Amino acid sequence: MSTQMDVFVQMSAELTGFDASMFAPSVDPANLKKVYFDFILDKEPESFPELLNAYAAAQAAGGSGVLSAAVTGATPAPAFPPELVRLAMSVNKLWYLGSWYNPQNTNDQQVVSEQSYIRGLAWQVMQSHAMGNSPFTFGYWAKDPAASLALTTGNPAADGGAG
Amino acid sequence: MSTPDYDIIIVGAGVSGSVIAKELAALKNTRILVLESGPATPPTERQEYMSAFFKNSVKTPESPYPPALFSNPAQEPTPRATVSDTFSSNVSAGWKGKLSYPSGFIFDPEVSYLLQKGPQPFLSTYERVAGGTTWHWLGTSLRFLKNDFRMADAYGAGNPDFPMKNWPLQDHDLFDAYGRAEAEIGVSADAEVQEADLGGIGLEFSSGYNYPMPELPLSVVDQTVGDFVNGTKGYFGFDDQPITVTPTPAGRNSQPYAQRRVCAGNTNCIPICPIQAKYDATVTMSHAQSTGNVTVLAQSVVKRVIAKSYGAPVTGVEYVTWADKDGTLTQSDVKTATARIYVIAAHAIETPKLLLLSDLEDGSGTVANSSDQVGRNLMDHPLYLSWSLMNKQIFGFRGPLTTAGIESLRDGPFRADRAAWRVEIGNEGWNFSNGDPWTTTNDFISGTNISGLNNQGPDGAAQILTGTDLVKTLNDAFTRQWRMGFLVEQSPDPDSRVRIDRSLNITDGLGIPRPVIDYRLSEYTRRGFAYAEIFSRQVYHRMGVTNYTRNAQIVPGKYNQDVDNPNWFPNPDTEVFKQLPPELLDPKVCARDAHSVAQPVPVGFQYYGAGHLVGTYCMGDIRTTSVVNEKSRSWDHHNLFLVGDGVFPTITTANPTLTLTALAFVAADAIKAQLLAGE
Repeated sequence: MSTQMDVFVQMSAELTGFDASMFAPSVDPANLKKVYFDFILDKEPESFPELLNAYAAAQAAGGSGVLSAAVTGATPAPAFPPELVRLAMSVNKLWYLGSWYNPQNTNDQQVVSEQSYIRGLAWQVMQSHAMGNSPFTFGYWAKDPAASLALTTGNPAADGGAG
Repeated sequence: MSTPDYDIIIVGAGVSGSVIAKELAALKNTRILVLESGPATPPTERQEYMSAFFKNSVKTPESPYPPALFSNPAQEPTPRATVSDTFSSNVSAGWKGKLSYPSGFIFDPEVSYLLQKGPQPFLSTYERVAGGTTWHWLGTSLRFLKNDFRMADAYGAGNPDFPMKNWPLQDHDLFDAYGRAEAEIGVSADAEVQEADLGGIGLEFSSGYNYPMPELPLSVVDQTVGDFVNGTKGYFGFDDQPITVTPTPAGRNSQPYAQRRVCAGNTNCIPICPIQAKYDATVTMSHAQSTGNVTVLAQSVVKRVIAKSYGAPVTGVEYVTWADKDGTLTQSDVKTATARIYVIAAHAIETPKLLLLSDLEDGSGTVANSSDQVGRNLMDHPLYLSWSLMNKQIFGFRGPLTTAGIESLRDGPFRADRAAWRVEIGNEGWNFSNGDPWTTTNDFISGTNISGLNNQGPDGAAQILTGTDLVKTLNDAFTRQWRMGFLVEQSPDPDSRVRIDRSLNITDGLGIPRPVIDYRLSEYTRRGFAYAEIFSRQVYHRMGVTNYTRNAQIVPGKYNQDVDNPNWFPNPDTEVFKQLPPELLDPKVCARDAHSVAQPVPVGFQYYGAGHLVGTYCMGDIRTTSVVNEKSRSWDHHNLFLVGDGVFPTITTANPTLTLTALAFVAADAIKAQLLAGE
């Protein structure tokens, strides 16, 4: 029996394309997954549990990728009505950008915390670092990044430079 | 006459004030008072500022610093201009022709500190904290070129309408001062490389001179651009001038220097370097204070400079000290401080504001303004941004915000007809130009297409992506983004100005009238934009890449109503575009409108501020047409010096901080001589 947190992490991995170990590692002092879980629950006390339940049910029914297909519009699913699709998009943006975009009005947004900004997956997807928080040393910018996209995302299917 | 309280009073603890404090503090037993309007810098200020930056949902040059963005300037002790003041959401519908805010301001005066009257908005900003605007400067430290100091002589012969002016000094007069400024700031560059690239357009050094530190390595972005353009020529409107990518001299450590760390490439010079590898003026003021001769009073705002008449000395300054306790602002009674010499170092808006508020006791005018030039000739580098995707991964968003530029076209005979520019190559992808990574990430998660990149669905529709598709698409976009920034040389215009209108009765939280800004871009300046767009097309054609620049004529204003973009002006030279060869009219290489529709003949151009506030108390040879002499001394009051880039007669194409720092050393020498002579 998986917990709501497990469902949240699994859903986040599907939405972001990052392996869960990259944003919810086993040793996790920042514990963003809990910060985000609590934050979203506070903002969306009804629809967030609905989204998690719908996701868990779809998974249990063997429907891997049902949420993604509903979000991208490839295959609309009754389990994921527009309200939950918008919420899923906001969850995805939260992981990428560290900011919460109100699903009902995406002009309304806020940075959740210093760590949420610094650990935004957008910086990893570009094989860099949060602006203002470089872990690298002098002159690194003169060469291509040492770490491949597959490494920075934990996703072996992610090869860089698609176009 | 009673003994003055101090030898020198300096108003403003930015880079100019700090250099003068440090130079004069080296004299034994000098007594120097520095009055800084904003907060002091406590030992933990960098962490506090970093934290404010990380948590701010708006990432602009001012994000880390007090007062908070969007606060009401009527209630703040030290409000200043911010980029967020000029967001289109602060513009009311129909502002043009019928400016819709009370008294006709472009931006909502409950948000915007500057009372902007137009016709164009002034878009550059500054800080009012100890250390000044060097907190958020980029670090670019270019010297001016020979002809920058003699534009009228070089290009204005026989043209009474030529808008550019000569300086009262020449490049060689500043060689020594430039060297001192480069040592103080800690500039990383190689003089041989600079002279090899720019010697042909008038860059010269003293024999044997080199910079204090080696140059910073070029980014992958710079290297790739260089591979395409180095040594090429035939750029439209520039005859046979060849171009090259040149490492930018930067006030950023390439080695440990002055007990500060080496650059770690945080890609955050603006708004704040987290490790002080980039110079800021607190470095210099700390040195000054270590002598024991300098007192810095923070949160102390000068309201008036006292002088009896033109020709009479300044006899004091009146100031108040403010406090903000639990959100309640209080100010002290007005105090007067006196000195032998007074230095106003409050940058190009606060300095003229203070002077224009300082009535002479004999009623004949305001301090230092017998020429009527105080506040006039407000200039900036109106910035044209041009952005594209490279045809391979170049991994922007890494390294310092910029490490190179194309300097090759900063001078030439074309300056008789139109504005010159330098090209800054950005290392921050489309962060500045498109608000990335936020904008493009939002596009692909929500299925919008603000960026112009999300058009690969059926019939060019926007897509919504998740998972591996999202990762690959965003990686491809972000690792190929790059941009050029054209710093266009704005010509001086006496009607482009800072002024005071007490009748408006609009003040800051201390009751001080707020500055009114009349700002305009001349035809000469605007024509520089047309040639910047053409140059971009030639570069993109050479690379075989697509131009994603957007020049938005209409933008979402207040309450999401569409409004005319105040930062947009019509193309000043549509005819020249009609003469272009077909490959430069190919929609692929052309800038677009707000909806990403290419415009082979641009309808107009959008400009940004460069953060370079210049020219409101210009220096000159003649007291009737300038405010200070070549040593930054007031023509009207022999013991008053006005320092900073407000003294520039023209802005040239180079970022101003290095030159204003050099001029502060020149002023410091003059002040020292005057003190020692007992004048």
